[in-house]
Amino acid sequence: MKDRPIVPAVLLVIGTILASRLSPHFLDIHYLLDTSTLYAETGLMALAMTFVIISGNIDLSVGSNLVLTACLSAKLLAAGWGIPSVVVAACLMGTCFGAINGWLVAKLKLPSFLVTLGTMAIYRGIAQAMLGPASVKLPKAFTGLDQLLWFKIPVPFLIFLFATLVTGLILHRTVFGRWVFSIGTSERASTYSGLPVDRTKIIVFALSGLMCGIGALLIDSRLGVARHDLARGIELDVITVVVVGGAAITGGKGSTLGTVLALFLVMLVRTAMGVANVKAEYQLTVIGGLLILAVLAGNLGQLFNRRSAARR
Amino acid sequence: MGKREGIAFGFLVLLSGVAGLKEPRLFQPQSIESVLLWMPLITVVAMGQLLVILTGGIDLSIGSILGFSGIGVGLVLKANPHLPLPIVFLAGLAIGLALGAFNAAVIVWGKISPLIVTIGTLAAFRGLTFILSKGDQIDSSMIPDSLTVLAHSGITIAHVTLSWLLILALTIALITFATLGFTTFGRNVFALGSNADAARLRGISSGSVQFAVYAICGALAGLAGVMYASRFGFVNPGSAGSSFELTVIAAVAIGGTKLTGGSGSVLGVLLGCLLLSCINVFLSLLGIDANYQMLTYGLVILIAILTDAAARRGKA
Amino acid sequence: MTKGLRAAGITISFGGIDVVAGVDIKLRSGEIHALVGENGAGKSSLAKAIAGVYRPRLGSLELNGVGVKFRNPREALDAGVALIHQEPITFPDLSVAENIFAGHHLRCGPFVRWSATLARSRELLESLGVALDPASPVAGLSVAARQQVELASALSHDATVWIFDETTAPLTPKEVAELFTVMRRLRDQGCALLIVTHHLQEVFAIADRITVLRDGKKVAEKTVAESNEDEIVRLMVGRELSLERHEAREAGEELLVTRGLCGPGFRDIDLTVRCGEIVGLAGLVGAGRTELARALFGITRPTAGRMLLEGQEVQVASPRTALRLGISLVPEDRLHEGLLLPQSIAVNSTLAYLARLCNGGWLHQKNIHAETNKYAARFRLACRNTDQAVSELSGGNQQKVVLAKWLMTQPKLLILDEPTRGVDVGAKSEVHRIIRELAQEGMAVLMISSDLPEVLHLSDRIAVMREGRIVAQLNGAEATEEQIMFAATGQQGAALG
Repeated sequence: MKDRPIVPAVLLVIGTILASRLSPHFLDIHYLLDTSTLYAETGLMALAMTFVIISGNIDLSVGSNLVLTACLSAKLLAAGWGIPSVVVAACLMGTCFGAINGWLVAKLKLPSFLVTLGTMAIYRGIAQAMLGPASVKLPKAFTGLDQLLWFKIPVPFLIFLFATLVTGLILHRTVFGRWVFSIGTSERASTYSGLPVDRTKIIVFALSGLMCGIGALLIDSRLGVARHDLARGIELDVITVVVVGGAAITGGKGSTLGTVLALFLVMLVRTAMGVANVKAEYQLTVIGGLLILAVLAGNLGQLFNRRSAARR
Repeated sequence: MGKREGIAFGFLVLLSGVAGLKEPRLFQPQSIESVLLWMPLITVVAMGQLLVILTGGIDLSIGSILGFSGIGVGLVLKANPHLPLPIVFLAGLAIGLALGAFNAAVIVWGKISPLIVTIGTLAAFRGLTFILSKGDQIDSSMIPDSLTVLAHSGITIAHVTLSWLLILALTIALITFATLGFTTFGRNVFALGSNADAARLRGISSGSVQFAVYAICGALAGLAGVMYASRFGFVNPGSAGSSFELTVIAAVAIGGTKLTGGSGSVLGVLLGCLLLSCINVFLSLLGIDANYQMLTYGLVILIAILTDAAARRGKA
Repeated sequence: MTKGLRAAGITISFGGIDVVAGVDIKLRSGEIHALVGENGAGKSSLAKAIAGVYRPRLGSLELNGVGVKFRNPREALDAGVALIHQEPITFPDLSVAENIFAGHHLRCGPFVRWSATLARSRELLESLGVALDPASPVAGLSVAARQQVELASALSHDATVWIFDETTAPLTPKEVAELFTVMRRLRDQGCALLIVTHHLQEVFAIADRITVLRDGKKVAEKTVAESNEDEIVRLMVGRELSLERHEAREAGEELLVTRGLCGPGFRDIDLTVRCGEIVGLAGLVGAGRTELARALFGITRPTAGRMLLEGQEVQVASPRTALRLGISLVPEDRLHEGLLLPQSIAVNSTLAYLARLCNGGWLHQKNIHAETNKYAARFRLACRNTDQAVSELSGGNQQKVVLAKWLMTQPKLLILDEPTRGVDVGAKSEVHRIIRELAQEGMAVLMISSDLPEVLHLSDRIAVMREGRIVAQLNGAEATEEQIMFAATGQQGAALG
């Protein structure tokens, strides 16, 4: 847990310098804050994915969970539910979908990537079956949260900051967080130490689901419509952020700070490419490459550490 | 036919029965032909995925490889419209092989989990597809009729036409069957997935087996790219092969392949491919729109992993 | 120059400790050579070094007079040196025939010659006198049958040197007899055989020559004709009666009582452990001691029988329940089950107690460090500070961390599985001191150990297990090493207490 996220920090500094040469906008705090609203969902899901990956698992279904919850919430609003009850319902639904993943992984001892590959298709599939090509418009009262400022800071970014604080404290300052690291380091030793392994896994996946629920509300409010094909491929950005942030895909390593820095890095890279008129589709190559390079770099670093340890 | 293949077969019978009762048109040659129209693409890619899953791995990038190869071959055809067909197919195969070899190299030499590598290349190859095509679709005008006709003409038996594409796909399935069953490479694939430690003790090189399966899987997805162009008559850089990995993994999984590796059969996967093709056709015949596809794939995958888990429990 | 395999001056080191030191052994063709010794004497390590699994630090191998070096088991196998494992390493999804030929298929170009494979497998199995269908799958076969598959595979490599690593341990007497028939047949065909075992009855039933190892060194080589079981036992143990005996303690109330407890690997266990008492659980590897400990701790579930804790019937469903009930286990496999290796001493030692140490779920670093430091001082833990990763500690200090983890939870019953294995001499006496202190304070201790002097030194009572049952209960003050060894191996003359 003492691993400081040096790599994403250095990359972020280099990236900022390069980006500011590309366009002076990158040193404009208002522009940055404005952009940040586009990445609030990615950020929230990455915060929870940090837990999932540290515990030695993966959640491929985050994008689908987000979409399903977004569509269901929109339908509830259209059916005349009040905003507060829809907010609560969205959080509950997201958490519930996440907990289903967790339950399948923990109790049936299935590999998490297979379970969440299945639910990835199922959750988005339900949204698609429910809405088809139609889109649900959200009431005016619900939209525009991203335009709302509080002390000049967009509200989605504030929500992200608040979530960072809470999840960071849980991960690094609580007994539960310690358990997440322990299970990811060695599930067997954790079982032998009497830790509630299954319960911890279910909670971790439920947390991932909760963040999808909150993200769903943000995306609904920002876009004003809900469709089944929203946020396609967002799981790639989420996983890339967490892995670039220094979390080990084999578990037991990672930090909230690393994830936050990596989120800013990915945001920067995406925005810079946008400014340079690189199409969103082209950007996939860079993000996918970044993911692979981050893991490669991690593996090489480990190899180097082992070599130098052997020499000692 | 073993117990595991039986699941796919059972579903197939059940599905045909239920659907046939509601809609008698189902058993007419036209519906059977439309089922068979779906088969070739799924089958070819599923054979590659079967090899990968047998070693205990996974390849999520196949849909993107398919798209890239479809665009690549389309561009080649645009430049040389009169290229002989065998060369066209070989070009698709070669493009896929190159991308598959990239996956393989990173997985084997970088010692990175196949899941992460192929999530990364799922995106990266799709991005490259857009870069290659400059975002433009390959239109039917660029694809020669001699290619598209392969999807619809072929050998007719009892009013049902087996298209050339289907015959190609079945040939590949047959080759896969022979490779898995009768070559030392095929047996090493099973051995590696069944017990990697034992394979190492017996001197089976896990690196070269792994490299081969990801490269072959890529090559077959590349071949499927050409078949896609033939079947649909156009290739869109965004939609060609998008989410195809779900269809294929569902077919392989429901075909009784053990998802942790070591056990599975070509026959089972063929049944799985047939099942998924039927689902596609029946949904539309029954008036349920295509919006249920994704959900169905997900449910099929879930059912497959649940039966896999139940089988493991039964043994333990 | 005789035919067979000659190993000279073999030294094998793990983590700087020589587990086998300068051993010479000669396996002559047409002879069965037994390698005996106590648990941890280095028998298995030596056998595995000969078969190419471990690379010895020093020493040389000669096969039929020619110097050889094996970099891996496959090279040894290609040279004709086969290792048969206690738990056969097979491909469960593949057929018997394919398990025999995996890695060296009978081939014609890239193709497998299936009919030849089946026919040859049938021949091999027949020549072993084994009735197995080569086409049947290996999953679901018994251990004995899977061993036979391994034997046939070795035979297909034309192995001339055969190493059997504790192969009889998981077999029934009838299966052992069948295996012996195969061994004799191989010997008569001119193969050289090495059997690693601690079942002396078996040694005298089958072997021609015996090499005795003790603490990694060769202490004797005898022919069976010129020796007897008593002599070998004494050579294996090799010590004068332990000088230190434990001090008598007042045993308190009965804490743990089991009645007819059955489970995976053990049967009909009637065992009592009192407060303030150390009960030693002796026996050979595979006798069911670890399995019993795992069931008492809730890793596995007993299938029958009762377990009482302080007179109350309890069911330990999971280690979590065990923790709540005050049962703790210091596991045998310290590296995989006891510790989170990359994590710090403080993290590891407080892992089980964390929830109670930290009020309200917040990590209380002050408490964590205070508690860790308390135990570090008490156990004289050698470390830079408590933030050091446990992977950097020596075996003895790692074990102290595991002990600290459990003692923090203030357990009533402490189960120790091989508490001093892989621990250096100095740390060993420290661990012994700690165990004695704990008993003095009234804790009930159940200690599994294969180290006989340790058992005698610490235990108030000694239960000996063999083949899943408790076969003898001895008084700690009066028992001798020979008595325990005789009971554990099932020899005649065992004084059943």
